Amino acid sequence: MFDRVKADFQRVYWNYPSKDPANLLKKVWVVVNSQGFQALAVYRLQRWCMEIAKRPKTGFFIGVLEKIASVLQKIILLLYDINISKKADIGKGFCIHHFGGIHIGVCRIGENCTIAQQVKIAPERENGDRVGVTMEDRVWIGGHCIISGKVHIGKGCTISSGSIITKDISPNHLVAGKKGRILNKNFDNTKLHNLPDLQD
Amino acid sequence: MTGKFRPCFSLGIQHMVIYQETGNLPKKIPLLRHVLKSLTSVGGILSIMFCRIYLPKYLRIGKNVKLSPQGNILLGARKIGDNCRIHSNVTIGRAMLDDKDTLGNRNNPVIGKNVIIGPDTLIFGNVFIGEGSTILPGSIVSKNIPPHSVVSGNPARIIRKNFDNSHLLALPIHSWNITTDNLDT
Repeated sequence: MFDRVKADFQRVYWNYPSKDPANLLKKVWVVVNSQGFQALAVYRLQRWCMEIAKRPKTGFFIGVLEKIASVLQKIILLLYDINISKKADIGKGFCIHHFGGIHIGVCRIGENCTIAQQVKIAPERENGDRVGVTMEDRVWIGGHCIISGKVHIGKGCTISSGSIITKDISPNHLVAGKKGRILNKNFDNTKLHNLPDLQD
Repeated sequence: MTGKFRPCFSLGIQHMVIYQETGNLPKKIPLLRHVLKSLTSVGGILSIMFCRIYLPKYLRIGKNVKLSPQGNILLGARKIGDNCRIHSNVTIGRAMLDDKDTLGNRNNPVIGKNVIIGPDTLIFGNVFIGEGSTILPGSIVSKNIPPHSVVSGNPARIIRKNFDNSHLLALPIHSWNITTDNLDT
């Protein structure tokens, strides 16, 4: 859990460039200012509790922690309107820009993905089970997007803001519009992600 | 959520007022300026928590602009004119995909007077929205809009020209308590 939260924090921290990286006050300020990171941290705590509760011998403490985490998740939903389901499987280095109207259902998301405000990721029912979206690494999704159903999104895809996706997308594509029109078949989105290893 | 929670909703406006005043302060009193600047940053966080409204530092907003108390509003515009109505779940911001001028706020939209922006709309890019135009719910705007027109859809198209929206602006909506009524900027 902790290495994943660290990777998420790195993604957020690199959006605030500064010359002195080892400044504790600035780190606290970044955490207070980034609503998406707070929501993600609560989600990681919930996942961690779920994993530990599956073990045969679990203490009393984990049950209490699980309750606290669910209450924290409700507070995050009330304050920022960010709802991440604990059944979603999100890889490390996930970044949420802004706040408001973010609903992530059952899905599988790879490493170093980025989403923005008002993004809805909804699953589909198939034989009683929920089958969701599968996303590879380094997918960038703009604001006001809706992705629904059993959709596979390839590695390094870029989805422009305001688009509605119901079909599969092959890797490195740039799509836009309500029908998911392909604008560019080989688009490089490393600048949009603002990843730390690509900065220098 | 009305009554005693009413002041909470206007936190966003307080934050904005304090910010705009700090820009006009004389340089002889640096201590007051420092205190006010720290107040604005705290007020920004509180306005996001309680009203879910984000107002950036470069925004210049006119008189009697009404924002929906339901929140989820991101106002990354350069300028918003007088008497605007902005509903919930609205995003106004810069275009991320064309990286010609990412520094500064030259890529952000400018909104004229008497504009009604419906819920779930998205306005982005270097766009001018003419005065008296109406943007219907769920539209995505990335091009200039001439004055007194009605637009809708994804991408937004002009569906009516020379539309007078003064009767829509005059509608009494009592639940809308976030205003910039008493602001002289």
